[in-house]
Amino acid sequence: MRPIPRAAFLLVLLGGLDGAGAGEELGRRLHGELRWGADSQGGAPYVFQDPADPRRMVGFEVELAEALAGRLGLRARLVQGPWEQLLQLLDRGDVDVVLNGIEVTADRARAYRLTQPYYAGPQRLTVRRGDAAAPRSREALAGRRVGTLPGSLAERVLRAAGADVRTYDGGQGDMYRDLSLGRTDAVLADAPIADYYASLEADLEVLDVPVGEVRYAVVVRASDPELQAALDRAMAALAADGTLARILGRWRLWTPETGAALGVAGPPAGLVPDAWLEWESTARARPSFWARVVHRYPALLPLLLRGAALTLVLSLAAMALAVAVGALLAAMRVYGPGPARWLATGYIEAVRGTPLLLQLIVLYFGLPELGIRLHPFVAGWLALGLNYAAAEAENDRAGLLSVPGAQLEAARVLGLSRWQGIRHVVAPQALRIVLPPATNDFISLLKDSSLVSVVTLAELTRSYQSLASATRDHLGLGLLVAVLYLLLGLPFARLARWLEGRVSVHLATGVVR
Amino acid sequence: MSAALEVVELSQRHRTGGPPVLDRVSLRVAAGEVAVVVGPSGAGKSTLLRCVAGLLAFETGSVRLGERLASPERPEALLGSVGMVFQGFELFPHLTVRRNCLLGPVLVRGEAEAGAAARVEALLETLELTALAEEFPATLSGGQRQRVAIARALAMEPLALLWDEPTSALDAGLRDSVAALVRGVALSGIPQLVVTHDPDVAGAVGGRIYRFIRGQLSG
Repeated sequence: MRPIPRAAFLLVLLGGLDGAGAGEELGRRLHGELRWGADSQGGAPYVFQDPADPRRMVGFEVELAEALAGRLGLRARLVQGPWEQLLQLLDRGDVDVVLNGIEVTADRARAYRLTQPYYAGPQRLTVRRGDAAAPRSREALAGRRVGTLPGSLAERVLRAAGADVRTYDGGQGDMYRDLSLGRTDAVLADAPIADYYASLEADLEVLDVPVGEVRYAVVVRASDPELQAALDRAMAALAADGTLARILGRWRLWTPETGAALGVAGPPAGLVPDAWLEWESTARARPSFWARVVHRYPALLPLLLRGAALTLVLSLAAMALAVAVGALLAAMRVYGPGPARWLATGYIEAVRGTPLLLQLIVLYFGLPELGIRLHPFVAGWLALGLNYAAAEAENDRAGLLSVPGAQLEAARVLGLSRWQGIRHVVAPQALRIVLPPATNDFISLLKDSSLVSVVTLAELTRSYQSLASATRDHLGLGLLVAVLYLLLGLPFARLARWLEGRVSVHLATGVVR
Repeated sequence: MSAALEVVELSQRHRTGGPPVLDRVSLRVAAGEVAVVVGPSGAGKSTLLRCVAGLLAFETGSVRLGERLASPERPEALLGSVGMVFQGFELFPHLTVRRNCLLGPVLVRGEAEAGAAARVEALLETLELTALAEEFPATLSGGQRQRVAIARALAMEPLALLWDEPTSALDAGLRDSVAALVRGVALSGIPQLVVTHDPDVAGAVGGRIYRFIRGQLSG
């Protein structure tokens, strides 16, 4: 972390009094909004969907972000993205700050501006209860299978300790579930995660041994010292007037380490940790599957349907692009002059030979280095569409080549131009060959569209992951989402079968040549 | 009044430096007449037809049809002016008989569908295809397909008609009917060029017969 001596911190605190003018300028620059990046999939107690009302985001960081923004005279606006990519969103300028359990480390302090920490606490080792062979100290971790979150400080601690590290993208519930199932020997995670997930599981034991300490800070771009200063002033004010302690107290997150780091006393005695209690009671209550089907799923359905709508719209738009670009590439490959053929072949091989996820990340996070900043939907649309264009081009090529060359000659003799012949004679016949694989491709695309969650789009799979993490219900919701995917794909499979029937009705009855 | 089809000193190779497929081929078909080129398979008969039609470029020589002149520089000059009945007929399988015949007039000549339809109707009537107008090619017999191919070519009001092996895709019993069809078209006054490997066909069709051996014509 950026070391700030206590005295300097006090100066900053006092400086907050004359910061009104600077605050107005900041507000104008940010258009009245503090866009803060976080990942709701990470779950409680940071930022997560309220299990009682999943349309609402709750968590101690939601309250902190709103309090900080309020101090700056701004509205807090949550921008969601995958946790490992939040700092890249900050680099891109999609968010003004990242506020989501980002640990203070020396390398982050070099690359970004970190505010005063708003939380400090231990990392906790969790093992299976009664597992005599479990690693119960930092030293015992060497060579053992230990789960943690990717890119976290805990992961670095584990690697330094020589553990066999398993990381979990899917959420905090997953890594403890794998521990319960015996797939790992231990889990190392920040105390809030262990307290909110592991401590509720009867078969898990959260150990109280010192492994490491984490401090969370708000991350600001290196080029934005004004915002960092304003946030530090606001943080100091929230610490001084007890707001920060009350927030942490409500969530049962107050630690002596936090008090020491901020130089303030703890939450008022007798403060009820109501947020924690609510989480605990919801999390412990595991309604029967039937009760969930009757009561919970209907309530969650609108949120999932919103994700499904995004999936569908994005997939249709991407397929339209893929079909158009694919047809062009195929025409270049089959009918074009040398350079056009090489260009199309090169494109197809390059696109097919590299992972879609890589292409998406390069488009979204790489292009800004060249000054091209794409909207998340546009980036997702282009990545999916241009990727599937390669597959469609190959389909189209097979279709075009399946039509005998003499058909185009017959068209040419009638006086049709080459293009007219392809358009009116060859392409309609190729369609019969192209349609079945193109339908399969669309259904694949529908599923691959879940990758766009890495560029902050809350499509169906991502909506599922957030809700499953918030409600700790992976299986039931998973089945529900699977049904939604099937319902999305089925109409297209039927439509294609119908079209295929229509197109081939005149062609199937054995053409004698 | 129709013009003659004149092929002058036409030469062509499949690849540069290779042996000539057509070696200074010359022939003349007057208006309303038929020329038959007979030769073994692979002698280059189809190549000759494709060069005349404008589907294939050639190295030297020319093809003249009235005011139109195809040369090595402008090999495609006759596309759209010369009709061709392909060996496999090459009907468009996704279009009905009527649509097969209307495609060229509508797309190439920019005719209104109604106007072209009347001419196509008359052609189908002449070729006894009226009842099949809404059928797709896959449902037709070989002889019917050939008549559709003729109708499709004639719908463009070509200045000449080329036939590539007109009997090879037909049952033996239909050979005589081919000769009748060729003579029927001849009545319209356009020159016709028929290539075939079958000397009997050449005799039945009538007209001047050329023999085609090793890229050269004699007759």
